[in-house]
This record gives sequence, structure tokens and C-alpha cells, in this order.
Amino acid sequence: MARLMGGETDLDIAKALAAGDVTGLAWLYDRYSSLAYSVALRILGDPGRAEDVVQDTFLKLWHGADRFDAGRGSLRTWVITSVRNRSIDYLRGRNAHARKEQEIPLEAEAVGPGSDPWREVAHSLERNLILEALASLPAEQRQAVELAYFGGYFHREIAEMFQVPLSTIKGRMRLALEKLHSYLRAKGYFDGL
Amino acid sequence: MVFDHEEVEGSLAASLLGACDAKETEAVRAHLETCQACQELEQRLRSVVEVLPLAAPNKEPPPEVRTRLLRAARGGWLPPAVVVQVPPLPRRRWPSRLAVAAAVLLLALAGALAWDLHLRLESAVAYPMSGTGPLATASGRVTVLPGQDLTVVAISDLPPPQPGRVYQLWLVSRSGMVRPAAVFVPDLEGRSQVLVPGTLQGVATVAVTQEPAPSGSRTPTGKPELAAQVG
Repeated sequence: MARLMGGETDLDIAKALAAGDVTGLAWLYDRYSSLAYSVALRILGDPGRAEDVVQDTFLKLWHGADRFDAGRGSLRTWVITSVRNRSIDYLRGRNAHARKEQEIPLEAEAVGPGSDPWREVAHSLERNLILEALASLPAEQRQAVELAYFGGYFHREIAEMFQVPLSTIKGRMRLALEKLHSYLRAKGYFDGL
Repeated sequence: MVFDHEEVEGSLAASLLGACDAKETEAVRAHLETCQACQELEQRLRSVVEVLPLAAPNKEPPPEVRTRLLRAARGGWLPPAVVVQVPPLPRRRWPSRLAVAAAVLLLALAGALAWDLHLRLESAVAYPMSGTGPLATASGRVTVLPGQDLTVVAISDLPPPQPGRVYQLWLVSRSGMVRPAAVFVPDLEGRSQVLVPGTLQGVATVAVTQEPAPSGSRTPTGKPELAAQVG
């Protein structure tokens, strides 16, 4: 199966997927499997389960490739939203008591080779910037975001965890996202938003 | 459940983070359809949520996940890595290590080699190279020869490099380190063979770029135009 070379654009990949070409799936996997697996592993904390979730997610995307709408978001967002939702579905399907507390290490790890080393370098720079932005938040705001996004906790659960009113948790989430946006925008990450 | 503007503003971030139940999420969505201010807020906050996954520590899935996935997509068997059996040849046909070292230099500088390498080996593992962009028609093979502690990179259908440039071979490690391996130009028939000492331990990708002649670059200045995944 042809490996992704790096010259293919996401549009090329989307077209190959839409045409039912399994090469498109291979390219999609080569480009986003590392990120997808990282997210699944971050959420699930179990390499075996993360592998299953990644494989299932890509297979579902392959079977539902005609539902991808480039006008509604990027391929990356499509893949990551899918793998995140599937991971969270698994977490929430488990006994809440069995769900381990999500201690979130913030330090970046070595960038893997992937199939596109130049893209990986760019990805690494992006990751470092996001980590910087998160680290700039007050701890209680960062925890609220991370427990929801990576931990799969509902806001009510987080409020109970911290013994604070629900409105406080909602406020922390809102403030956190606003501050993250401001931080990233100041660094030139967003254009025009 | 019907939310007013203030309630939606309070719940929007939680909703985007997936922290609301279905009813609350739907109430937020319904309000967004009619509220321009909340749509703008939603766009701003969503742009942040979409990049949060990048905060996850980078991990590579095991290679077998790709194999299983493609096998499942195709509904059939997918061959594993190609294993090339190379028949043993008489010892006299195989040059000494010194000759090999000299050959590396000669091959890299002259860029013109005989296509057939007669290697005395019992087995080798080969990885396909494929090209993109200007090298879309080129192809090649990276053959690791464990018995000789040597790797052969053989490329065909390679166009001449652009004026003032040469091809350069790079080895990309699993940790993302990129190091130069050789500078070369193809022969008149578009073929090149480069010998790389060692068996690519720790190397994930072998890639080719075009770099300034005659000696190439210390780090790549362009995108890889030809590459093979080897680990």
C-alpha cells in the first residue's frame, strides 16, 4: 500500500477517500494516526484499547467517507473529533468508579517519525505552543478543560469533584477557552478569528 | 429545554468541551441558530477546542494497527513487509570492506553505477520507495543487508536534478533527527545506487531531497520528494 509521501494535500486524501480508494485510507492513517493514537491513549490510558479505538475510528471514517464535508472543518478535526468521541464513549460506558483520575502531564514528548517528517516538525511546534498556552492558565481553569476534554467528565461531575457550584465550573471553562484563544492569537496562531 | 442568551453564553464552552448532557447541548445548538453574537463566540471558542488534541503527548501506534486496518478495509489479506531472498554468490565477487567504502565515495560522487550489485548474502529486507512532486515517476528500493552491515538504496526513473542542485539522501530517526547520508546524481538512464554503511538501526524514514550542488546541505532545505518507511 502506497505510503504517504507528504506531497499529498488533505484535499487529495479526501478525494481518494470519496472515490473509495483504499490508498486514501492509507494516506489518512499515515497523516493522522499518530495524533489520533496520542489522543486516544491520553483519554483511555490503555495502549491496547487506544489501538482498538484508533482502528475502529479510521474504519468508520473509511466507511462514512462520503459524509466528510470540507466546508465544515478540516480532515484533522474530522479524525480527531471522531477518535475523541469514540474514546469518551468508551470511558463513559465504563463504571464511573473504574474510571481513573486523569492526571495530565503537560510536558511534550519526543516527536515520532510518522510518515512525513517535515509535517511532524510543524506538528511539534504547534504542540509546544498549545502546551505553553495551557500552562499559562490558572490551575483550576486548566483542570476544568482537561477533565472535560480528555477525561470525558461532565461539568456536573467536575463540580462535584471540586465541591464548587456548577456555574463556577462553567465559568472556568469559558474563561479558559477565552484565555487560550487570546494567548494563541497573540502568538499569531489564529488569523482573523 | 430552552436557553436564553445568558444561559447559552454560560454553557457554550462546556458544550464545546463535550461536558454537557444531550439536552443541554441541544438547547445550546438551538439558540445558536438564531443568535449572531453567540455564533461568533462559538466560532472563537471552537477554534481553541479543535487544537486541544495537540496537547496530548505524542505517541506512535504500533505498525500492526495500520496493517490490521488496511486488511479490514480491503476485507482480505495484506502482505507483510517484502522479504527479498538474494542467492549467495562466490566470495571473490564481493569486495572487501575497504573496497565498499571506496565504492560509497565513488558512487556518491560519480553518480553512475552498474545496476546489478552482486551481494553475497543469505537474506535481506527491502522497503519500497515512492516519489512525489517532481519525482512522482521515480521509484526505488531500500535494501538492508544485515550480513554485510550495509544498506543499498537503488533508485530508477530519476530525472536529472535541477540546475545547480544535486540529490541528497537523508536518514530520519524515530526521534525525528535528520542526518545526511549521501549526495548523488543519477546516470544517463536515470538510475542511482547509494550504499549506506549500517543497517538503519533507529531509522524510520529514508528520504531524498534536492539540495545545492556540489556538496548538498547539512539539513534539508526542501520537502522530501522520494521516501521509504523503513521502521
